[in-house]
Amino acid sequence: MLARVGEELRSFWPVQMFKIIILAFIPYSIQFAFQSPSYFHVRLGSMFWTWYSTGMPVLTDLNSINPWTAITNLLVVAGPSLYFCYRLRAMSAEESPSRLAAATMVVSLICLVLVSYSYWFVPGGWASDSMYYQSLQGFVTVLLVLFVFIPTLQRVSSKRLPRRLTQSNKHTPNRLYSRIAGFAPRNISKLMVLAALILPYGVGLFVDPNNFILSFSSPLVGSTSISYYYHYLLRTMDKPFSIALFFQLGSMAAGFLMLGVLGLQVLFAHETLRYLEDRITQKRVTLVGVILLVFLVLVSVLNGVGVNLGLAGGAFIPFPVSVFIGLWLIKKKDQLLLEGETELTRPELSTLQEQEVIIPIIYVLESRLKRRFRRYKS
Amino acid sequence: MNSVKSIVERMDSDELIRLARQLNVSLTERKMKRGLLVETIQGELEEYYREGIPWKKTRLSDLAIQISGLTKKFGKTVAVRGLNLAVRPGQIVGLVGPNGAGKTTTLRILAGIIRPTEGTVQVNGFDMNVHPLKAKQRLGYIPERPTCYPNLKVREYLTFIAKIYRVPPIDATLRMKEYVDLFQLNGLLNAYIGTLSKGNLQRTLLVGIFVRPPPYILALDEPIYGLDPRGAWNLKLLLKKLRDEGSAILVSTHILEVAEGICDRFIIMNEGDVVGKGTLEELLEQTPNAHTIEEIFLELTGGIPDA
Ligand SMILES: Nc1ncnc2c1ncn2[C@@H]1O[C@H](COP(=O)(O)OP(=O)(O)OP(=O)(O)O)[C@@H](O)[C@H]1O
Ligand SMILES: [Mg+2]
Repeated sequence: MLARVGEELRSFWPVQMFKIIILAFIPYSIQFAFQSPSYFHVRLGSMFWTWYSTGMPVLTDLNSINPWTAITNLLVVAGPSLYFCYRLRAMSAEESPSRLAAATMVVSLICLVLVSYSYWFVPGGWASDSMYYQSLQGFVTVLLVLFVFIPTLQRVSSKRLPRRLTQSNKHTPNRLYSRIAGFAPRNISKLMVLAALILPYGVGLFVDPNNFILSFSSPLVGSTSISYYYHYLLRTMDKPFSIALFFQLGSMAAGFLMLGVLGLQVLFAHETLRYLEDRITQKRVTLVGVILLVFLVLVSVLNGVGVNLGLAGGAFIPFPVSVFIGLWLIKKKDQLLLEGETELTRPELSTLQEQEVIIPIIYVLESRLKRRFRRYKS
Repeated sequence: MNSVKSIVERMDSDELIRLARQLNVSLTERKMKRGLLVETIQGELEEYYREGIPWKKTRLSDLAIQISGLTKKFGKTVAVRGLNLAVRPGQIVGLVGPNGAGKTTTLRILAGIIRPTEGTVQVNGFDMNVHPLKAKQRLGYIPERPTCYPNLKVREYLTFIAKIYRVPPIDATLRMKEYVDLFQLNGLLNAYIGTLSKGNLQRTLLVGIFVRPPPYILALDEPIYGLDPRGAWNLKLLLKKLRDEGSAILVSTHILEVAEGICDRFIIMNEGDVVGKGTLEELLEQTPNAHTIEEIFLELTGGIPDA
């Protein structure tokens, strides 16, 4: 018995560690700037190294991060996600991992903050490159997405919405709807989550006499900004427009807000799904949508007063694509979900008997105590 | 035993846990397959009812309800005059008559709410005047205008009733589940009685009676009136089933189809007097002009009006 557990652990941990190591070497902060034909720079940063180049040997630099700092930080921030993975494996199909996923996210954030400021109290803790701290945030985002959100959603969407969306051409009012309906709910859910992760939730706009910067932010891609610097043009007439492209994976100057956006978007996708399969009321899913919207407005206000979300600053306009998609799905539910077998709400007796019953914790403790006591007496 | 087991199968998680608590089932795991929990509880119930199911052994007195020489006067009005009536276990007797005939008065005296002017009433062999508690212990009464504690929730009322009638908690839980399902009160268990509609109040009172163990002696005043078609149908089926299992039932009604559908015998009253008595066949014989229960009724209570 113990040997078997040991074996499983041995095959589980190496695989996860391998994934983590790969993730640790991937660059998360990527910046390209082409400001004139004669000048450009590229910056890359990961958990173990940062690189800066202008194309000129003097201004090209590969830095490695102090390995002890890098490794301890990595272990601390990756711990919660790894633990989640481990627990998820042991969960039965009926258990919902959603709560544990939320807890993992919160703990990860706390770890991230601890690690980011650890140089205050750990001597020699400074990673010697500020770009490293951006990468750290990117790393945590990617880790959460790959180790927590995607597995959770796979679990959730694989057991949900079994038969409701059936293709029946009789009740189809519109070809578009029938096509979407025929598309199967699981795919809809996956698409929604993908949209939540990739599509922008906000557009940043920064204009001053010298610059014009337009940027988009999404949880997974982070901030992608296109900047048009036209001050050269204004000052010296011989220089053309110049364009800088910043691509920062998961850059979160305000990690809490960013992960809040990510979490709420995924929650909203999840609730939309549950609504489509009649598990929750429209009121509830709308409520989550509204909370998400309010949160996005809040984020933009904060951004306006200086809490930067990896955007270039300036006006930040909430642009919640996934909310729009979700609300559209909710509104069109009846057209999307064609009448078919609607016996979802009444599981058959045999499957009913397979369901898990959660016994109140007090009862369990009482029973255990009583059992102990009885043994003690006899 | 199988009927008890099937009740358990229909319970939801909360109900299962409540029952497990009552049975003192040891549950040491936080999570459990429903099927396993159901089986465990069924096993414990088998142990609990090892000596046999107690209420299956109860027999009623041969004259479950006996009313003799009953007269009730309100001042000068005679509401009931010299009524004799008996209901035996396994019988449903219908008390029919036009408005003001004295049906409600009879049932109120039977329930011990008002005293007769003359005559006696016995329930399960106990005189209502001499041993009121023993007589009322067995009797289930639904008044014509149901009233109940408005500040209790339905669930509270039902457990309260179970307690004052000293029903063992496990028996009460099982029967409550069965009858709450039957009368579709599931969604209303946490509603205040004061907020219930008339029909649902009536259903609640009915479940309150059936929380007690069978066999029952029932005095139901217009029980069908106020129930929706499904409720009425369920009640009619239930009354017949209870009769077949040995209960004694007296129902008052002026809905003749109901009376004809469920009653074995009839007492026809008019202005306090009994004007006809017996099975449908006997009544048909007594009234040669009549061919249906409706015609019997009209004939005996003032004649069939000319068309
Ligand atoms: N508390 C009372 N005080 C005075 N008279 C009463 C009282 N209760 C009943 N009566 C009278 O007794 C007679 C019989 O009434 P009862 O309510 O028993 O009739 P019923 O057969 O139930 O009629 P219904 O079909 O309308 O319910 C009526 O004339 C009624 O007015
Ligand atoms: Mg009456």
